[in-house]
Amino acid sequence: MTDNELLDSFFQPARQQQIADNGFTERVMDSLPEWQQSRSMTRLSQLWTAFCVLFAAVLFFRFVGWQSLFVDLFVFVRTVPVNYDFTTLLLSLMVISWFGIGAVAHRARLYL
Amino acid sequence: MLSDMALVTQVAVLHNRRAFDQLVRKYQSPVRRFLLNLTLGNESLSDDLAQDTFIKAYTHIGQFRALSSFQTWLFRIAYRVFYDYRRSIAHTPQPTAELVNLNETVKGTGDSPLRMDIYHALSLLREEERTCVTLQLIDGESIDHIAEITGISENTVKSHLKRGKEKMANFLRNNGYDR
Repeated sequence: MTDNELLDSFFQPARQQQIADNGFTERVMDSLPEWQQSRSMTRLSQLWTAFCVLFAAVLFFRFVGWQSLFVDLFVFVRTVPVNYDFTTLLLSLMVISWFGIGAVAHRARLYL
Repeated sequence: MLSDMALVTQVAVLHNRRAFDQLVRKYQSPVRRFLLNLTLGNESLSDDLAQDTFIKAYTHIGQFRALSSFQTWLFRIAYRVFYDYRRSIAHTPQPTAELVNLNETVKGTGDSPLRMDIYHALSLLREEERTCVTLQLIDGESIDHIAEITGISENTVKSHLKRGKEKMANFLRNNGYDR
């Protein structure tokens, strides 16, 4: 019997050993720390948000955004009774508000 | 069933704990077995080290680059956790501590006589030799993966394997395993 054959047969049982979980995974999951974003990632995320807001503001003023905003608002108010289904409009407002409130609550949790 | 990479992405990007739960369930057995062999069958110690391994994997999951398999990456963390543990108790004389652990383990876990022999045989090896032999003969890792896990060069891994296997084979022959 060569050395390799001898070692192979000796370690055979150890190779086939399967360790039962027995609550190990639960213990690991219970001791996981809360996820914390690294400082550099938080800073990067804030910079990106600031850049997007600034970019949107520049575009708004560059293309005289308030004009089309007022025109669209005026047209909307004047044509609502004719063109829009109020149920759909109400549902859309509710969905948008839901996401808006969720986003604000998330932000508040992060900063409080 | 999602692939490892899909689960890792869910954990890294969406912080999805359920995805990490699936990864722990899948890899707990090989990681715990690897550490059980490194600690010469000390179940409570190897479970503590395995738990630290998975916590480190969770907190550093963004560093997984998929250049190797997820198991190899986990083994690398497990080896470092074990290495750090050994360093923290470095003032304790090594062979004595290991044999004490071995005796405690054998009494405590009711392992089969053959497993006791495996731990006894492994205790005769130096730590690096034991790691390399364990990874190759029990976990079936290739030499380049062993080098990646332990952070030592492939040539050094080959030397450790050669010396470790010689010592093991001599021990087995002297104890009648070749009959």
